[in-house]
Amino acid sequence: MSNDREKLKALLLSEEIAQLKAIQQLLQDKQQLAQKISEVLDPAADLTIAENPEFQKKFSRIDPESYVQAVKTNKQTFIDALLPIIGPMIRKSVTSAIRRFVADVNRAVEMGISAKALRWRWQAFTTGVPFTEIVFNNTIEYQVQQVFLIDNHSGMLIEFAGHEDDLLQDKEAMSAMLTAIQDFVKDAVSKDGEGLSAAELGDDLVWLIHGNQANLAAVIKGAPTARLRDTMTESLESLHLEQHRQLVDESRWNNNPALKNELEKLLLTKDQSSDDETKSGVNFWPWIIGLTALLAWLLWSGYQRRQVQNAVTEQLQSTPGFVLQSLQHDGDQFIATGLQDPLARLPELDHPVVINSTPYLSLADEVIGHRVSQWLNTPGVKVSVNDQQVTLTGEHDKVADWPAKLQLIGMMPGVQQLHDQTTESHVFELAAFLQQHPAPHQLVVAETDQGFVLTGLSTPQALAEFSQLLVSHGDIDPTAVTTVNPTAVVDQINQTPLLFSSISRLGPSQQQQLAELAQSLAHLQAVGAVPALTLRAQSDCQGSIEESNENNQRRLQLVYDELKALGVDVDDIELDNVPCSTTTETIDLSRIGVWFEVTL
Amino acid sequence: MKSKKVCMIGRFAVGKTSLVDRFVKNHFSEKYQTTVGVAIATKIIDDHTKFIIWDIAGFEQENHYKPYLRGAHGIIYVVDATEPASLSTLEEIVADAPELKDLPSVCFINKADLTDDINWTEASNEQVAQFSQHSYWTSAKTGDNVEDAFLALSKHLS
Ligand SMILES: Nc1nc2c(ncn2[C@@H]2O[C@H](COP(=O)(O)OP(=O)(O)OP(=O)(O)O)[C@@H](O)[C@H]2O)c(=O)[nH]1
Ligand SMILES: [Mg+2]
Repeated sequence: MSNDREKLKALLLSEEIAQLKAIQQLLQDKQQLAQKISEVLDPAADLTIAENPEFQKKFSRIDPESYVQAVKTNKQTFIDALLPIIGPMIRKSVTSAIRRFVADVNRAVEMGISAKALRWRWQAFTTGVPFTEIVFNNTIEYQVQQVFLIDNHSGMLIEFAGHEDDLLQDKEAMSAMLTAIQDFVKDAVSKDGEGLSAAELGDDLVWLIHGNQANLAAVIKGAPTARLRDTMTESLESLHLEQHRQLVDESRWNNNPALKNELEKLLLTKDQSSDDETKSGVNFWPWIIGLTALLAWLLWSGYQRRQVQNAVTEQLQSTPGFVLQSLQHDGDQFIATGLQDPLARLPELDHPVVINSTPYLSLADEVIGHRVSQWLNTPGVKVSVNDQQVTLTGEHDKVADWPAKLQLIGMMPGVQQLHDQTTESHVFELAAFLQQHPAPHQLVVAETDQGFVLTGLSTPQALAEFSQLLVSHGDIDPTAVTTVNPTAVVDQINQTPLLFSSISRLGPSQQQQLAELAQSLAHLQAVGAVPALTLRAQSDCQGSIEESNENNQRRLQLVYDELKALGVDVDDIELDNVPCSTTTETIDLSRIGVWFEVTL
Repeated sequence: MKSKKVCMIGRFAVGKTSLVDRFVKNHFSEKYQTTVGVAIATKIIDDHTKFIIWDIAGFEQENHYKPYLRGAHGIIYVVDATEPASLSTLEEIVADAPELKDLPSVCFINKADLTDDINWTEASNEQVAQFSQHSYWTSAKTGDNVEDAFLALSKHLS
């Protein structure tokens, strides 16, 4: 019977029995078991931690006793290892503590004499809370409205807290936009710095804290104190430390309670509404002190002077592109110090003022307007700027590379938006054409009903090239142009000697010839040639050698003086006396005179 | 709902901003207002997907645009069917940032309504195929195909 059962069992379950045996064996063989478990340990741990974050702490629990012991016996090693990490942190926190302290003291001093402050002092005295602490608690006024946690790589929103309805854009767009602005700032302004850390958004303030993986941005109403930045930094640090997994895993972004909870802690509000004195209105102390001081000042310096100073201050303060820092009397005049944009246009001032300014880049509408129009340099286009929105109207030239120009205007500092309402000019503008294609040499272009009339001077080649450009816009009449072909002119001069034998004066025909020479030289210069001139005196060598040479010299001088008198302005005129070697018997007038040699 | 970062890429004036306006606001304007830096728009595609569209200013010589592409999930290349230079611009961009080829993408061949000025050949199609597998003839002006092309990208994203 039992035998039959065994058989049946073996028949039905032989495979399963074999599997069970194998499992049993696996459970008993420690090494094999460890091998198997190690294969699933990693994913299993991930799963457990995901479901129960507390689990991880079990692994990281440490035995403090052993650490204490280690530090005690080996202090120096620990100091060496930790110093590079702790050092900068200590320095940073000391700096920010000092900055805070200074701000608090300033506030306290400001408040030091008001009735409110006296009451706070009393409160501090009676309660034992430090005075600065009380001042701090009573003066700050701000509200953190929204908090964004943003992946700093892609600009995608990781988590958000706050009222979504108050946002200008939806939260994803805001987060992308903040990242884009930050990339822009990093690229354009601070190549290796951290980039944007604060920005203004309408009346609100946006603060950005940079982290390794994610950035934290907060939209704040009112005037936050440095302490808020510390709180934000701490919060971002702890998010990186404790929630690192959630930060890097895109699938867990958006509506992650753990992250949202952390961000919500930052939505704090501080205001003075509890302070009834603010509601009741004015605090008279500063007024009384101010009025007394003003009275004393008036007695001392006289009302009139003040009047002038006010007027000048007002004039300077209302000048776009000028930031007045101080205005001081110096004898009869004022010395104004401040920042000045090179494009700022200072008004006629009522009183002599010496401006002592440092250049800066102004983003005032008017100055942006000057900058854009100066850069465009297009007479037909009118630039108007309102609230950093630039509008271009009028006509722009057809030849200019207009879209590229617009692109560049868009990148100018201060230009928020560009509205191009210009139309492309279909009318040919001679002035604009000449600005792009200046006429060569001394060519003058006039526009008439029939086309263009050219006058003045030019080489034939330059005239042809220029006409080629102009001809598409109308007929050209070049008949009045004096064309100057430099090589022909030079040949002409070199082949025409001035023949004369007198050594005391030049006759009318010689004067005429020299006047023509002077004009030819002027033409050469007008078309850009730089002539060098040699005057070469020769004679027929009749009579004595000495006499001939002396006469040559005189003729040279006569010609030279005449040319100078005609206003020839050639850099070097060389005088060359060709001496006679032998004398001749016959007079030969065609060999007496001055020859010219022009080289270019 | 998952957010997807999508970047619009192309030469200036090809119609990137117009396509986004048509898709998001169903609105078109003849007037050309160049984009400065980048403009962001969002649109819910369906229950699972929301597009964060980065409309990047026209791509010219500089590569200021690179930081804006980081972490993108998909790319929309835009080319102007009437302007062959706009296709070369895309080729230059992809040559400059080859990692773009690994991302899901579609190519919009825009201004299809300007039938008289179209300057497009079989070779142009092959050039497009070098950087994007899917292309659509679109017109921001008439709205033709615009929504379909955006939705096609969302299919390739999942
Ligand atoms: N006919 C026609 N015109 C279009 C179409 N799409 C855009 N345009 C026009 O093309 C011009 C440029 O369009 P935008 O959308 O501003 O071009 P963009 O690519 O954003 O340009 P940038 O911002 O400078 O890079 C505008 O005048 C539009 O009206 C289209 O499908 N058909
Ligand atoms: Mg655009």
